[in-house]
Amino acid sequence: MNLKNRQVDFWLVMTILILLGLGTMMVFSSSSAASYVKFDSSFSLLLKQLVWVGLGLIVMLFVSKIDYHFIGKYSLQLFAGAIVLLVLVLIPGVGKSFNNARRWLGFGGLTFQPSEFIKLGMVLLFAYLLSNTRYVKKMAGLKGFFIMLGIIGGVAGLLFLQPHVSCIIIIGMVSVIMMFVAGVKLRYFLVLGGVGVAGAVVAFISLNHVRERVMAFTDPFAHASDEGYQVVQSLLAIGSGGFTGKGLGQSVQKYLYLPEPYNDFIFSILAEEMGFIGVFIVLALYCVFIWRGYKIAISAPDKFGCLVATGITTLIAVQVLMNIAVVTSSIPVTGVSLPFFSYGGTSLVIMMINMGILLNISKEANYNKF
Amino acid sequence: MILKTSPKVKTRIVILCLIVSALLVALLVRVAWIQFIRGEEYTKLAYEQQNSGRTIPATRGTIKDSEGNVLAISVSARQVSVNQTMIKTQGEKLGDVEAYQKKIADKLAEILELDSEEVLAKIQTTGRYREIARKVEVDVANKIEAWKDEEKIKGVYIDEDIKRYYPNNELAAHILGFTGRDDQGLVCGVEVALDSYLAGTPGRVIAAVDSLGNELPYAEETRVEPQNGNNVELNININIQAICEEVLQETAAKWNVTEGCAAIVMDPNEGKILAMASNPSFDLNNPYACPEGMDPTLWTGHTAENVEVLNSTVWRNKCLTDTYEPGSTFKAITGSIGVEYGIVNKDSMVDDGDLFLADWQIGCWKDGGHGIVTFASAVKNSCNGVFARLALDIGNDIFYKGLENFGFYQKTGVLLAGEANSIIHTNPTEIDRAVAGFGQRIQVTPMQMIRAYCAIANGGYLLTPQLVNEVTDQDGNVVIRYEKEVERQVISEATAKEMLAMLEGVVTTGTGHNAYVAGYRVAGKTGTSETIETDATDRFVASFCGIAPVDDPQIVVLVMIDHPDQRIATASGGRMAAPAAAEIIERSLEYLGVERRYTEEEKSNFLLQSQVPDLAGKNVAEAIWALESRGLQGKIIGEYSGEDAYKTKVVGQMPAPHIILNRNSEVVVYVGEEPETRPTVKVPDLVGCSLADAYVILGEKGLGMIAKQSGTVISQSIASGTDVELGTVITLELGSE
Repeated sequence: MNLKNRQVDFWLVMTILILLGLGTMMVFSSSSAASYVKFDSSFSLLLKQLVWVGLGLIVMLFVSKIDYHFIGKYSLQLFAGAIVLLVLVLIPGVGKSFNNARRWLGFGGLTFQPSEFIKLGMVLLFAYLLSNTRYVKKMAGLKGFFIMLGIIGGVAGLLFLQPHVSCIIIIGMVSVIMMFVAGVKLRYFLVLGGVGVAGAVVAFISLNHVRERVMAFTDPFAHASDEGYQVVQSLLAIGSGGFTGKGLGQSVQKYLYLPEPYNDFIFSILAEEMGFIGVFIVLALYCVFIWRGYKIAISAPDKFGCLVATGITTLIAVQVLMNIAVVTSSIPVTGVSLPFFSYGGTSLVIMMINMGILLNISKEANYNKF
Repeated sequence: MILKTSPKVKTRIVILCLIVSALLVALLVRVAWIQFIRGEEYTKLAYEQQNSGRTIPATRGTIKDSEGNVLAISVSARQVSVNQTMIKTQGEKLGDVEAYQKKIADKLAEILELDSEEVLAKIQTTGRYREIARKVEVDVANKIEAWKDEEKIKGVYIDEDIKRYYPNNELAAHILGFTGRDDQGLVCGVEVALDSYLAGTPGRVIAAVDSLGNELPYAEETRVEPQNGNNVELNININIQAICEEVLQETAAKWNVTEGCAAIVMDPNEGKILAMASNPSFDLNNPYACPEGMDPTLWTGHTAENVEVLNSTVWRNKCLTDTYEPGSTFKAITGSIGVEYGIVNKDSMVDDGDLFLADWQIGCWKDGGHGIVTFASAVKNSCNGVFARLALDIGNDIFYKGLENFGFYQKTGVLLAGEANSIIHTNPTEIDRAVAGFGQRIQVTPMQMIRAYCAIANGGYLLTPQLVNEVTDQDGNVVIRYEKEVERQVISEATAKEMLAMLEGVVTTGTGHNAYVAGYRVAGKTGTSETIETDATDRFVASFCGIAPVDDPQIVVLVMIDHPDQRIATASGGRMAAPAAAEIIERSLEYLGVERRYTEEEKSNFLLQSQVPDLAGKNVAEAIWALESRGLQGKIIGEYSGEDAYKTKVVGQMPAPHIILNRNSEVVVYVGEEPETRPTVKVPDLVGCSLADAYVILGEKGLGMIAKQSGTVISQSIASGTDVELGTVITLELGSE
């Protein structure tokens, strides 16, 4: 055994706490108006969020104490459990639907999205398959490559039935990146790239709402009253922020111009209130997070830890990139929340489980080796 | 077993980390681009959106006629809009968004008489403002207001709106035009031409925003009051306008006119347009209604095809947008140029024989022409040969320069959109000039034609026809006044006088005798033209242009009848347009209070008598001819249109046949079906009236007259105030004054 750093990664913990703090502050600022309209109290959503943040921190602390190898042993079972949830949610009467999408499972007063679990499930499964000696040889060849693609396809199929396209994109990207990192031959990815392009073309041609969104993306202002509404409102919010912003709490766009400004479009309110400086700081924090995350991956004592750390970090990175790309109208609209910022109860707690695992890996990481 | 991490994996993670970092930097650059490059634009858009709120329309200015009668006025109305986001939020609070949306949609649709599906679709869009209905009557909006309060509905707004109202419906439709959804002038008329003056500046309701978000943006509202529009006073006299429209309506029915008619009345001294009528017309309060001849079941009024039909039929102002061959009415222009340049005078002897020019033979409408006659007589008899020769004698340069001076090469400058210009041959040959001399092969607008006649009437001055008198603001201050505008003197006063005298001859003893009005000296010229159109159907236009009274011209009148039904009668300006013009002249001058001055001959004419013919078994057309040939006025009662004037039979008359009464008396003729009860009138008090006045009064009432002496009425056979049947004959005793 090499020297072990028994402490969790200080930079990572600090980054997580600062992001979470800033996020909670933005949830308060952006939700106050909507919260007042919905619940007759400006603080209603903030108080809920605070409870979830507290719970999330406890969960993170707890998970960070569990040896990730222990979790790794149950990778297949955890993945299977996530799949069961994905199937359950599709059963009418069990899964709850909202806005024509069946994405929620509920127990008592709590609801959660099984798609949040499958993200972690996929990371664990792929890390397991690509690092365990029992499978790693099989997976290295073309056959293994197609098996993994098959798994991604199967999960994507289940998600498509909800439907939850943004989650498919996230899981697809994270899985493929993990395969890339794990050492799958580069030429296989060329084939995959071809399939991906073809799939995108088919989706554009055959799916009406996909086409509408892409059209709205090319000229959001021409679709400002329907498909492009949110993006236009988002651009107006970001654009009116300027260099220093309007000041915390001073957003005007949050007054019901931007629908649910505390969710997917919270970054726009951040840009409006804190300006370019605020955006720069937050993006820098995400950069630090990603840097620490990948450093932990590289320094992890074994390939499983490396891949899990890579997967979790990439999961956060992909969501951050997609969210900001959407709100700045850099890609067509798809519903992705901004990690640490967007309002959300159970999804926050599930993300904090991820953070706990990452922190646990960091405990065993040996930075000296790199 | 667990594997160690290979260096290859580590390298790939570094690559991944670099890619992700690069993408983050790219997004930072993107944000910078939005905030710094596009920032100003987006900030402005955001500001406009956050501060626009709902608009309150300005009250549009009132349009009045020259006597202050209201022609177009804006009345208070309401508009209904919704805040979709607010409705959705409220619905969520109540537990069922869709039910709440549906409840609002159903109620709004019920009260506003809209389709509830469409209203629901509007409510279910995203956004904070969606218009549901405009120009809603106040009492209807009050119902919504009451329901809102009762049910504590959120997100439904009632705001001020303006509805344009035209008290006279069809009257002066083409002059006024109408307004659209946002109260802006549409298509035609003064509403478009003076839109910038009439419109005003709309006000706004601005939503107040609390920076802490403790209060809703809807909690407080700031109002910016609208600036109301200016008022417009026209030169149009609505009574004369009504006379014109009534006469055109009768004329169109009588001759089954297929392409419409136009009439203009102008004050030749000031250049004011007193009336400008175009038939067919439309109801300003319902401009998109299905015009006659279209299938109402297929009509929506708003498809491109429907609007095209409206534009080319009822909305079309024939006075301005149509050109026509003026025919013989143009001889007054050729004559004026000839007299002005000393080529002819009223006593010159001129030749009306056939004129041979290249391969063409130009002859008078009378076979062989009128021979060698005086020029005055040639005007009277409308000799084509004389005017063809005159145009040739005048010469190319002077002739076309003359037309230019009379304003035939330029638009008249009437303050309305869509004015057409003339179509006059360029590089004219001798043939072109010769036929142009009597108004063929050139096309002008009715407005250009009447403007040229005004110059003859006022001593030679070409004026800009003025439709509008002035624009005033809400406090009555004059914003702009349209003064008399003399463009140039076209002919000398002497020429104008001489021409006017010759034109009077046309009406007293020439082709225009149907335009004769007892008591008013009328000058004028008839015109009948026939154009070979490209689709091989001939276009006939009958027209008359008149000036009255000759001794001190007060009005110039033009009547143009486009394509009367050739099956009823051959197109003729003298037969069709002159009587219409006469009626307009007579009633307009009467309205304007111009006193009649009868000549001794006219006075004695009042005593001429005729025997009422037996009309039983005759059709409408035959009955009219029978009465007219005896100098009696027929008053037709019953339904018939121009086309079946030969089929509809006379079923009764009043007075009975063979009675002898004074000429020009009214004879009532019942056609089609005999009414259950015949109409009655009260006998007027005629004692003290002159014979001429008695004629006019009895004629208006529809009563006949027997009088054998001239002077003042001493007694009447039926006492005043008695109810008698229409057409009853009153015998008058007159004595010396």
